[in-house]
Amino acid sequence: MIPSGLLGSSGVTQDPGSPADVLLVPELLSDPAAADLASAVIDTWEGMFGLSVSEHDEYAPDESELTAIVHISGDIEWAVVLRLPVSLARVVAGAMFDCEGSDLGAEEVTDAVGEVANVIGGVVKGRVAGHTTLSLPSVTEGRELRVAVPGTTVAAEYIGRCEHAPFSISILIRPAK
Amino acid sequence: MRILIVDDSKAMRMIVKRQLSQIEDLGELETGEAASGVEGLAWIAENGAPDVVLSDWNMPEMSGIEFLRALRGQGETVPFGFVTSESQQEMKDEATEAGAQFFVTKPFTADTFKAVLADAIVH
Repeated sequence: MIPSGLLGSSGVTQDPGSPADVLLVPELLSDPAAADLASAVIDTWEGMFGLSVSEHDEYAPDESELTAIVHISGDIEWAVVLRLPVSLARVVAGAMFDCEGSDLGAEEVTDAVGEVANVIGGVVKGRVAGHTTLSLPSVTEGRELRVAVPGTTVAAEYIGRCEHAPFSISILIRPAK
Repeated sequence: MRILIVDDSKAMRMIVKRQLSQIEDLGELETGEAASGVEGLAWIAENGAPDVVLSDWNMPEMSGIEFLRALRGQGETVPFGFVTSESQQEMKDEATEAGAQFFVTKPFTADTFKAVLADAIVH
C-alpha cells in the first residue's frame, strides 16, 4: 500500500523509501522548473501539433489510459511520465498523422504518445547540466494504472486539459548512488 | 528534391514530411523514409544518395550520429541535418564534427522548421 500522501495529483507516485536528501536539487523543484515544464508542454502540444491546452486541476481519467515514460541518465536520474486517456491519445495521434484519430491503429497511437514523451524528455534533458543520455520511450496501456519509478520524487508536474480530456506530465528525479 | 527522413517514430516522420511539403522552394518533393540508421543506410544503398538526409538522433539499432558517421565513412557527402529532441550544445558540436550541416530541435513550430530547412537546404 502506497501512502496516499506520496501520491501526486496525477497518480504518479514517489517512492516512499526515498531519502530526504533527494530534494537537494533546489533549482529543479522551484517554480521556474514547473514553468519550464508548462512552457515545454505548450510548445509541444500547441506549437508542434496545433492542439490547444489549458491547465487543469486534476488528472482522473474515466477510461483506459496510456502511460509513456522516458528516462534521462546522468549524475542524477530523471524520468518523464506522460499519462493520458486513450481517447485523447487518439486526438494527439490524429494531429500528428494529420488524420482522424479513430482511423489509426493501436501501434500508431502508441508511437505518437511515445514521441510526445520523447520530445518533452528532450526539453528536460536540455535543461540538465552535464552529460546525460535520453532513453527510447516505453508506453503502457491500462486502466487506473499506478506508476512508480523506484527511488524517485516528483520534481515538477503539469496537469492539463485538451479536447475536454485531462492529461498529466510529471518529471521525476533520483539522485546518483 | 529527394529527401530521406530517418526517425523511429512514424508519427514524427509524418510531421517532418508535412512540414517539408509546405516549403515551396524545395520544388518537386520526393521523400523516402527509414526507421533507423541501419534502414537509412539500406535505403541509400538501394536508391542512391538523396539530396538531403534528415535524421533523428535517438533510434534503436543505429543512432543518428552513428548513421552519420557510417555515411561519412563511406565517403558519402550528402547534406545531413538532425531533427531531434536533443538540444545540448555538446551534441550539436558532436554532430557538426561528424559532418552534420544543421540541427533542428523538437519541439519546433512550422515557422522555425521552415526557416531552418529553407536556409540549410535551399540556400
